Amino acid sequence: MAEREVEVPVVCRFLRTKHSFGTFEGELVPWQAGLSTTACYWCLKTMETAGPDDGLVHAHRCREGRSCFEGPSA
Amino acid sequence: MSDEKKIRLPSGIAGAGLGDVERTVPSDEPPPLAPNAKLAVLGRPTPRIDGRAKVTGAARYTADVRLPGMLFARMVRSPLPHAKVASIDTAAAEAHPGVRAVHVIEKLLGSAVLRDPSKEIPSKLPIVRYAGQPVAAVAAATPDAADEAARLVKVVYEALPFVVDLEDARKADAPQVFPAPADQAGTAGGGGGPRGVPQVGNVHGPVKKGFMGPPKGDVKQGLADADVKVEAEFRTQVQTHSALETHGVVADWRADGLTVYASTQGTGSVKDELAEIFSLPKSRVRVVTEFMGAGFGAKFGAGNYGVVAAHLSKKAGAPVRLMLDRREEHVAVGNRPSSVQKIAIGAKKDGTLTAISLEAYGTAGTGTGAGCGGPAQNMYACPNILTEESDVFTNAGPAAAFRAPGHPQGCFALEQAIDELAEKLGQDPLALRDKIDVSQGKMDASAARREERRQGAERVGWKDRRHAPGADPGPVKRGIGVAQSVWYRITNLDSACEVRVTRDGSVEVLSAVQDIGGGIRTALAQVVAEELGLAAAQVTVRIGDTAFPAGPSSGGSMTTGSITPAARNAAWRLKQKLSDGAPPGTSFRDACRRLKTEEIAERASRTPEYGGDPKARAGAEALGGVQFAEVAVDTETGVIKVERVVAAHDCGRPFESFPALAAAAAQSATPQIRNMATVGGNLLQRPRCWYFRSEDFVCRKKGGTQCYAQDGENQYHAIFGNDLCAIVHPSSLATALVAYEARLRLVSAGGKERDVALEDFLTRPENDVTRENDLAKGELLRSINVGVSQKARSAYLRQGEKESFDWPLAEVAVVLDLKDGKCVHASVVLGAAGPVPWRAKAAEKVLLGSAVDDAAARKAAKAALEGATPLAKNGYKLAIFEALVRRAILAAAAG
Repeated sequence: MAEREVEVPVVCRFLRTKHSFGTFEGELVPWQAGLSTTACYWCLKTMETAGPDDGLVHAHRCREGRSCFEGPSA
Repeated sequence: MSDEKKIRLPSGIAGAGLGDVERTVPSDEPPPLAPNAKLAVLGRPTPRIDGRAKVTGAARYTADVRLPGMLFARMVRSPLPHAKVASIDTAAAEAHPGVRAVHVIEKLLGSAVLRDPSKEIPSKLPIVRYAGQPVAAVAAATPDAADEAARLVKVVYEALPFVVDLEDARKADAPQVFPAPADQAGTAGGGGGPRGVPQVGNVHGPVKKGFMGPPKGDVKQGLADADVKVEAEFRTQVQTHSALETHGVVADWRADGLTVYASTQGTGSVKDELAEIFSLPKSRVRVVTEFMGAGFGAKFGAGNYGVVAAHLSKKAGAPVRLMLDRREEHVAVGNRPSSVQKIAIGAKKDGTLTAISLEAYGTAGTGTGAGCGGPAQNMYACPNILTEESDVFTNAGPAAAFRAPGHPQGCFALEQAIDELAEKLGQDPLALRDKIDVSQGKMDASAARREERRQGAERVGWKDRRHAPGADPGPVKRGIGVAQSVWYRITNLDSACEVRVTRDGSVEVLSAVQDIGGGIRTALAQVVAEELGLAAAQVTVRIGDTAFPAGPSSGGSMTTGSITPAARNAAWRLKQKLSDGAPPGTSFRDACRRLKTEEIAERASRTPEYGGDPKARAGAEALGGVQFAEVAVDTETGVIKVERVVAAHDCGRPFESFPALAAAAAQSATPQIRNMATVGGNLLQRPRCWYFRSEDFVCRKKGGTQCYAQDGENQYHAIFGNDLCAIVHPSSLATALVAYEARLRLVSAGGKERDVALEDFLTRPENDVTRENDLAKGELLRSINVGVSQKARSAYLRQGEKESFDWPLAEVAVVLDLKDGKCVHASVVLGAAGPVPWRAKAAEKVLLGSAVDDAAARKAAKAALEGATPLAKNGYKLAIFEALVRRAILAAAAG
């Protein structure tokens, strides 16, 4: 019974949302895709809804290319 | 595969089509749990195993944690909603003799630049985006010293334009909450986030995708095809959290790691965040939540306060307690976003839906999460659904999850629109829902709701009680309504339990899962006791500590469903070990005595759902609920009462039955009344005025020069005699006793007795504003004598926000003596009206000498309000009093 493969977008390791603390099992979209309209996000660097660059914290935005982005730890 | 087996599991709704399904499960999976009727512990009345600890105060909540040498912290928060912090001077705070550490919340990455530099607000310290955002904190030896030192932190702000109103924030020229360029969403993520989620100004969205459903079909076409259309707009307001225990921690930074006592819904989430922030191995961070005073979605993660407390503890070399106060709770740590929902529904004449369109926006302050489209996306079968959801940023505290995020708002709008559709179609709202709430394949709760509608309608008496609007005779009109909901089954695979058994027969369950008040301690004890053949009270449950196996966070209604299967699996395996080699019929106790070692233990985790269909896993399911309410509206006073509520919800397998709940409810209140209260205490109690009760207000009654209620929050204050002090006398008993012209007998310390009318004994502010009565020092109230004749007729009516356990908004006591059909004596006394029980002499005058009929009662009721001087927020009392006086007079006259 192999787990179904779901592509998980890479978001900044300092991004958090309540969704990361609970999951739908199965094929539903992972929280990192940022499709939930009820999710609130915060940055562990600032503990606020703005990141270190003063921009909005969101799964759509806390991705590679943003100046304060940090990838998953090795 | 040899390590798997096939089993059949019950599936469906008991009493309404319970079937079974085949599933492939690991070979060491316990057999399916028998129905409750065949179980000994589960589904039986079970007292909470921690009930005694909670009611006796022995239970240690985070707010109760006191460690040796512990310091007290206080945050410094911005009073401005949008500002650049020019400088922070902590020198004076650091020089305070009680202070041990000061922490300034700094930007952790100083070199970051926005992609569009022209939009950047250059600042060394974080930009303030809402009033209440923390900027610094102090830790001191005492709470008072921390408060003083926090006030000594000098912060220089450069104010920036701000916007706090939802509609203003949507305007093109509104101040920008974030300097991010409008096209950032398109360029973020080194290739862009999902397309179609633009941001223009403060408006982030619309998002058109449901995370598991629509858009589907063509809504425009669906509306065009409709025979009947409903279009409406609904609004819901921002709602703040107010858990009994505020957010907070005690952080204890030691050389070998960090221990944090936290009021949290997720011990694991606090550990995860603190380890990441402080670059500590997770094994060096321990989070403890023995008991916590509730959380409704806002208590996840470490929070600013948790991080700050850890910093302060590290700096001071001592444990630091940082519990937020009630104001901080409301401004800074989460709220339910507002919503404005434009909804359009199309249907054929028979009710079949052709389109659901929802355009919604709301504000989550500086955060996101204002979507509310879940119910529109997932409740009703419809070929064409489109939801467009936007966040509107404002300079207000960020939202947090709040009980089924977005769904109460979404149901509020959708369900009213469905009712309007039923009315347009001329159909019964329940019958319409039976037609349109049908299976849509996956994520389907329609079968559950169908049964809930059937049972709920029966219990509330839907058929008998429903009638045409306004059909009730008299001023009180009643109506009955129904609404339904959708939610989802969420699990957390990071759910593990260890069960230990020792040779003396002791059983322990260990998990990091925390109890947020739902009773997971008792549920775990029940599950393990059931498996081992014990009583729940024989199982010791140790939870709320990340030193134990990982537990699920408590949110999304997933705690019991995630952790109890792990506990059962561990207990079941332990039982196999105990019975291994034991003769049949060996008792649990004897099996323990036969153990070769002092202790054996089993650890098990939550296993994934074993779905038959790999695409639609068994775990991805919806839950439903249906609620009925009967509401009465007094069209004269405007008072609304919810008289009956029937709620039917999916609850999974009930672990407890209702007798325990009923017993707890029945026992909770009586000791206060039976053992604590006295009649004398009731008459002599101090007023309830919140300014008088608050230590922050030195009002006239406390020797000050001002009555704060007169120009403040005076909705519960006096409408008579309020020019010096606006309290209302707090005793309902006094209102009735003054109507009865009661007299008091008082005795002094020297034994001297005096007799005084209660009406004279209770004194007005003009007499002495600091007092409410004439009781002399050392004097005791010995007896109360009711003055009026035994033949007198009387009535007492009150109107409160609640039926019991609340002070009245208005109350009236009337005593009448009638002779030959005419009134020869009348006492009409208004309570919650003035600083003393307020005798309505003008009303009494109207009644004296006249027949007491409806006309006289109406005239007297109007007269009762002569001389009233309502304040800005309590004018509503006039209409209530007028109705109550009239009704009380007629009730008294009727005997």
